[in-house]
Amino acid sequence: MKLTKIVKAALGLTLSLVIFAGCSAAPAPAETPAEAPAAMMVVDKDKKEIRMETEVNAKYFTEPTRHGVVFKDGSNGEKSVLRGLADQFEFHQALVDIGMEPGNNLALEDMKKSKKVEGDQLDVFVTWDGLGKEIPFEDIIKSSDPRPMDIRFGGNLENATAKKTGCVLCLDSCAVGITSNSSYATGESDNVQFYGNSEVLPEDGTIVTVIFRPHSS
Amino acid sequence: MKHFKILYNGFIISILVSVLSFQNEWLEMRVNVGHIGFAAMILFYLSVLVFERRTGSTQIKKRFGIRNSLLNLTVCMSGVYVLLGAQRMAALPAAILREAIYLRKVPFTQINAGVLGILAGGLFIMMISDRAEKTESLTGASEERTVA
Repeated sequence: MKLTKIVKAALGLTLSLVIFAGCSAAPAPAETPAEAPAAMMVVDKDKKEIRMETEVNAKYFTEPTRHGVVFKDGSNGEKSVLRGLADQFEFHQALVDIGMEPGNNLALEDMKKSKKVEGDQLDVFVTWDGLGKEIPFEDIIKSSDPRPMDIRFGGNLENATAKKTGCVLCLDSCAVGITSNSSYATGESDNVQFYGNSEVLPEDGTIVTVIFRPHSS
Repeated sequence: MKHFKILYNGFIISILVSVLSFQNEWLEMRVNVGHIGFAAMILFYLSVLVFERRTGSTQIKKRFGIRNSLLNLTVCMSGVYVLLGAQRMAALPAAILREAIYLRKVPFTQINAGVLGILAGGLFIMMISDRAEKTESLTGASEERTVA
């Protein structure tokens, strides 16, 4: 009888510890200064530059994905190498504000038809605290079939609104992502695998700034 | 204790089910596979209770003892290892669990430590429980003999 009581006490203690650990491990409230909405994306119309804050998702250091940057609250928010902290609609508007023209040439039916996204070309860079420089976005992505990145302002506002995926930057041509990579046609990610480059990217959860500028030839 | 033992074994199975679900690209892209794991755990728990009620089995507590739980743990974790390998095993189950409980800022190391704590702690509790039950049944038997 005594032993049963000890077991029950041990069980109670373990559950309390698990709950306590769970609570203490929980993240700080969402509205920390670092996550205040205003700081998530900065648009500089004079310099024609957009800076978006994102977080590294180390899940994609070992798992393949076709998503480069996705807004955290979109349905694909946990399926990208970088979790965007600003939403896709604001980002679309920001690109229009710096004078970029969307391609809007892809429909959802084109996703299996090997078509390439069109629209104004963008130069995309990343940086984070301690790096001290900007590096091209393609340096943080590993591909089973490497090609130079050609990021285009696909637009796709209608599809993005309907699908609510949160896609900001797709790694192959896409009919939903606001921007996507024209180096790979739609559907190519069925055969090509993309990963976050763990040798370049900082650790899981680190804030990474993604910088979008009009292509300079 | 019976419910704890069933849930513990259900938790182990849920890890394997989540990882198996993740292997299906269609599911992975559309569903939070961690929730499939939770559903599997609840389904397992309810199935065992229904089985117990229907068959009138009195062996449930015994069947989910330390030995069979350890066997379940070994089989399921070996399955996860075969599917993922060591490097992916350190990140993927933690990522699935983190996504399922919406704690995106908790590092994988903390999630893994929590899971290991639950797995080891559960086994420890079951070991004490099995011993207690054994002692009680022995004491009960000797008391019966004395009375007789």
